[in-house]
Amino acid sequence: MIAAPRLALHSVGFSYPNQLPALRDVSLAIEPGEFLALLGPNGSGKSTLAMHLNGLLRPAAGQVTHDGEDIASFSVGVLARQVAYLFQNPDHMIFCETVREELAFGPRSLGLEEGEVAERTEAALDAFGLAAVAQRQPAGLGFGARRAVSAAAVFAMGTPVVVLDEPTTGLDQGAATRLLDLFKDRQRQGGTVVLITHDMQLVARYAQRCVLLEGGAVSAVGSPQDLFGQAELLRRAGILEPPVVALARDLIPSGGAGIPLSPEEFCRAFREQVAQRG
Amino acid sequence: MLQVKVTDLYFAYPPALPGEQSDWTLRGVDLRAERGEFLSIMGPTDAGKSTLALALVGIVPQSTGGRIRGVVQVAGLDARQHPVAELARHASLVFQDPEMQFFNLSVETEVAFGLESLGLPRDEMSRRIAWALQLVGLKGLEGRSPLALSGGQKQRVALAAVLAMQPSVLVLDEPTASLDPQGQQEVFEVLDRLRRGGNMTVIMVSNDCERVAQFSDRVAVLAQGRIVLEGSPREVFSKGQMLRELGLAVPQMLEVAQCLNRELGTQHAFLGLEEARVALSTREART
Amino acid sequence: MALAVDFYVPGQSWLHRLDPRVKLGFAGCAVFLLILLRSLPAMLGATALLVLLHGSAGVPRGRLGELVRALLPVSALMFLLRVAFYPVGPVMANIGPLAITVGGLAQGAGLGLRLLAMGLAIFAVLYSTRGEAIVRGLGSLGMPYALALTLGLALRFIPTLRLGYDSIARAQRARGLDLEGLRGLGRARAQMPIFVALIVSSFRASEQLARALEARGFNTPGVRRTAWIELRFRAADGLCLGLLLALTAAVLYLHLRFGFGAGPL
Repeated sequence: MIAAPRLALHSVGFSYPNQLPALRDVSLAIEPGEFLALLGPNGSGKSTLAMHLNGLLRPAAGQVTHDGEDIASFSVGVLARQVAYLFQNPDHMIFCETVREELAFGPRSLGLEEGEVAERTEAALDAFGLAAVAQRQPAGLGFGARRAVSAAAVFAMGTPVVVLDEPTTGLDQGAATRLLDLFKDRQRQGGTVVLITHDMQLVARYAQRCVLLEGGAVSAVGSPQDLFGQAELLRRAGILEPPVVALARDLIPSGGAGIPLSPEEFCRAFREQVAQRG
Repeated sequence: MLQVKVTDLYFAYPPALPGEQSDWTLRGVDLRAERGEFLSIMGPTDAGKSTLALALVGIVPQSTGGRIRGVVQVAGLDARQHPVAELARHASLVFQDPEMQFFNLSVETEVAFGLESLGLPRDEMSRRIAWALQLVGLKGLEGRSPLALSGGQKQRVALAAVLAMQPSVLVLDEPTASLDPQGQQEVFEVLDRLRRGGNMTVIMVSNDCERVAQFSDRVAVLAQGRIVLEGSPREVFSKGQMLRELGLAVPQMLEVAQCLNRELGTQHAFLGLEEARVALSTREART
Repeated sequence: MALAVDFYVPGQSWLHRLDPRVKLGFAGCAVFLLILLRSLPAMLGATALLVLLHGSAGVPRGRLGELVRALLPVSALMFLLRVAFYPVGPVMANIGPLAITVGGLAQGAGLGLRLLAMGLAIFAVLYSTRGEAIVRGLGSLGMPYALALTLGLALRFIPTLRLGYDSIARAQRARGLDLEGLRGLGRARAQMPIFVALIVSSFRASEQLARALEARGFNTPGVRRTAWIELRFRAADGLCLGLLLALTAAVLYLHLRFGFGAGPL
């Protein structure tokens, strides 16, 4: 896998035709190898921002750069070698006769040679547990399986940067974590992952850094710890804080350790507090 | 009085190609619900939850075809045989995707659609439309196009359209899975109001364990085509190991309670945030 | 997104307030007359009238432009075919074996305009009438409800399909599907992943919609369907209907008796 580029937006502005601005003077850098969560209410511009990273949308104002180089002159086809995008609706991607072909489409479109394509396809089939249905028609599978197929298809492209746009809606928690674990592995190998989601428990578990968008502008940047510590910010952003965080806010005054994001962390912090008081 | 009675239900969709045989999606499902009960159905993805929801309103097997065995009785009627359109006045379904439930009408006319199908006179329709829109909190949006509304609003229009028909059984297939937190909140507020009303039997398919714990009288877990766990929310969620193996989540507060019990030897059993706050504050005060 | 959810543009113009049945009648008469009349001047006149109609109904020029752009390819095709294969009168120029004639150009223009005019007539109805009013109007005129609803649903699906195409195109391009620089047949072939996914999605969506209809009691056996929307025929509607019928009758008479609008188209 090629080394991930540093992605950056410089004062990017964008409007959809005949509509109010979707992005307003957005400046953001995404470092190579980080797991970033893009948060915000519906309509705040998360997908719009993410689609600027691979050229699907072009800024009306400002620039988008990869490793400092403006991507304006590169086609989406070329940029797809660097940044892959998994859309929310798997049925917007699926069109092949077999699952195997579906996974091979991406690598093949990127111009890889057949040997490499086959290798990546098989690896993705295994990783996502799709080997058993490799010869089946993807459109005929259940929703969870189709979701896995679309995620595997993006995974097989092997790009250094991956954008996951609400990849877990409709999945049970086990399937959701299995999917994200696979992309987390990629990140450990040096890849960058940008996750757009409303599920705060996933953010707490996977994200290293969060960017909060409101009305097309960046309103906050920080670790999940930093973000969840600010109730007012979450409320404004229409984000539902996990019960553990709400409870911690009331019962455990913030110490140096930062706000607990999971039941285990809460338990530990509460125990320490009890020990201190007792 | 039993509003839902499913006994040993087996169902398989028609095969993709003629001559093949498709696997059973449902393999011996048993389910009961009393009048006024709020029953939630959880389960791993592709376990057959949507299929079960469709079976409760007769769309499975009447519209889908396929092989079926067993009993499905809803509001006293045989859902396998009773014409679906007729059954709809007794048991109606709200789908997961808000987009594909609207027919190019204004909000008001969408809500009226089911009432037109029932052949009601205009003054009765007018009363029910006003009542339904009030119930879901969308009074004032009568003339808008549902397709231009937010996700939460769309789903509430769908709810109003179904509630206006005043069914005795309301089935919801993952009603909030496609919505953002704001929309989810809006929809659950409506469901809460319904629950307090006490008259309607609600069957909700959902994996939102926090809300399931908060709203349900009973919870059933569907896995590999059958009900593998059933009981009160507390009973079901206490089987954390089994749920985790199935890929399902457990309410965070319960996990906290279990963890604290392990570490501090306490006997906590809270499920929800408020309970936890009270229990732990009191404990705090004592220490 | 860029596209409107609906063809309908909310407004209070006289056209908006007209009874949908009158408007449907108008569309019917307009199409009838456009087929009946066969001269270029007639087509020009009709198109001009219709543009005026749209203007007075307050249809934004942008929307009108969208419509024209959508119809232009087919209009242009009709124009070109006529010019290429039906030479009439004095020859202006020769392109290979084809003779470009003044008459051919005029007739080609006439055919192209006819299509445009029909589009304008039909869209005058779609822009100024809510989908549900069209369905109700058709039902009131005697069309079986199921058929009227089908037409309404078809209208509802067009923006959905357009949005679906955009979303799918984006998803496929993000996988490396490169459409840049391709035109014609090559482009069409390269777009296969988009079309297949669109067709499958559409089937899925229509299945969902069918189930939603059933879950709302559609077609309950033995029950006569009532209607929520009330249609009220006002004096203004009567006036317009009268004018419409009179105009149509007049044009028909003039055409049959005096050959008004007769021609080669």
